[in-house]
Amino acid sequence: MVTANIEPQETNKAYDSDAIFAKVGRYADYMLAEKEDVFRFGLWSALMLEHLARSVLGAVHPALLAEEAEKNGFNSLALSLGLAPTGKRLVPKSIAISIVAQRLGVLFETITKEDVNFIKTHCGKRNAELHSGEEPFDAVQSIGWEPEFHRTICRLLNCINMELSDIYGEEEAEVANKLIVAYADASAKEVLGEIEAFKRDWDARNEEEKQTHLQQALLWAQRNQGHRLDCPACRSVALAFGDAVSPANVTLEDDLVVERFDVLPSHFECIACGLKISGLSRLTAAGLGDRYSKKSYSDPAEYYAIEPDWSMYEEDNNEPW
Amino acid sequence: MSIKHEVQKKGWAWLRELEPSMTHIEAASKLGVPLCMGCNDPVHFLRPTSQANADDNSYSGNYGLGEFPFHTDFAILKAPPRYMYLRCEVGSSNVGTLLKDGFPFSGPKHLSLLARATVRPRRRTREGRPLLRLVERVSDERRIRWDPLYLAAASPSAKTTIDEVKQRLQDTKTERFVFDKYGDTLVLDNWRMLHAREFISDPKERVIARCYLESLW
Repeated sequence: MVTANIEPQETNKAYDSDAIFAKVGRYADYMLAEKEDVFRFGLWSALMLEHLARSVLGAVHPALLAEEAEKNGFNSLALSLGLAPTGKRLVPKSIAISIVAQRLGVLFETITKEDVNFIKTHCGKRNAELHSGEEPFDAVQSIGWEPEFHRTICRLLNCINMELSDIYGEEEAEVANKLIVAYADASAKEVLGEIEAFKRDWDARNEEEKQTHLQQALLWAQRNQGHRLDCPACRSVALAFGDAVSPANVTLEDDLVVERFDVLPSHFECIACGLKISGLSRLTAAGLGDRYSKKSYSDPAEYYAIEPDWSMYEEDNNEPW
Repeated sequence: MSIKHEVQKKGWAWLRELEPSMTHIEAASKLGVPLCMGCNDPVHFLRPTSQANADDNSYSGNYGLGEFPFHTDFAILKAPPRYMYLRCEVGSSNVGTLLKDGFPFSGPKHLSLLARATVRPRRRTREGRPLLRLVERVSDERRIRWDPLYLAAASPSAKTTIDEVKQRLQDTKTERFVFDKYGDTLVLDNWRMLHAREFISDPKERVIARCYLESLW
């Protein structure tokens, strides 16, 4: 067997799958700490996705991450193989994330075309944020991409024999899995047909009738009765209701105790056009399945008050002896 | 049950006066594959040292003859050594080595944030200051790293998680071992068991040989 007298050293850190993966957990933690801020949640999510995709590809072989030889000679390839070509100081360069995604789609059966496109699009938003005047993460109020994001993250993690809970923790992984399942529920797509039917009915009403119903909906949709949303059929103010999916985060703001917790919607109602949708999967298909946070305010005395001991007092007795 | 199986099952094995005719390296080699963590000799000796006489990058330099907090060894490295072997050279009946099992408080059902908590060494190491996780999956096994002195939080949930783990540790059962005869040996899984040392009243009394093992036979 022919052997060269060059001994490869450690892979350059730029292509080290473990070093790249170490950042994934950190970005995930920052992302999950910013659930209420659409912009920050989105930005951290894009960093997390790109690093996970690169880590998975690098786990197959670090050389797959190195910039192509045609562009930069073979220096990047050599560094990825643990070789140190002689010459001036070398700067490792990597392939674009779009190529990372394409290669993942070719190498792993479980990474579908949908995932490849999602990686390109979502990471493209990060580029748009950093290199242009666009605001890709602020452009939409809701995080409609979240279920697809978790689905792609889950599939990428499976490629390296990991689960969502390895990165998110058990609680958040459970929420993410619910979102993935809901998204995958093909039958939820039927709800789009229902919305269309209610829209047609609404459009057929006269203006006076519409205005009356719009005003009624506005009065009904009080904040403390649910989460306000625009109805997808008639665009009036409607409400979503749901269940808490996280323990309350208790803080003190302006002398009031504020409890915040995340809620996943379970049903939606619009009293203007009469549209009702129930089930997270159907809500997700209708674009109404995003998680939202609920707040409640209490007086500290009320919140922390210990039940008084009435045993030292006479029994309540309003009647004369 | 073999020593390996015992360690696999509960995280440690305690062997009274193991092979007293053998040197420490011979005894270590009989248990497993000794690992050299950068020094020339895999076996090194632990002697109680006062704070004034120790470097501040060591536990003695920070805690002296006082209690050492619970920790895993080399938690600052990306790949801490798997097993540790402690063997009595000069015994003392007054000082205990303490163990706590990391498994009960590190499973997914217990501390959901552990999976997300990212930490890093407080100072530069031979590997730089890599980002590390308190609990991570290695093949099908769980690896715990814990060092309240040398590791610092590097992500939002890490600080909260570190405080929660400290609380949980107080409720975790403690095993106590006293090395008082030559050859008394404790083998432990450094990816699972946290260890600590009690206060030492007389530093001349106690010398323990330590050797890291890559694997057990």
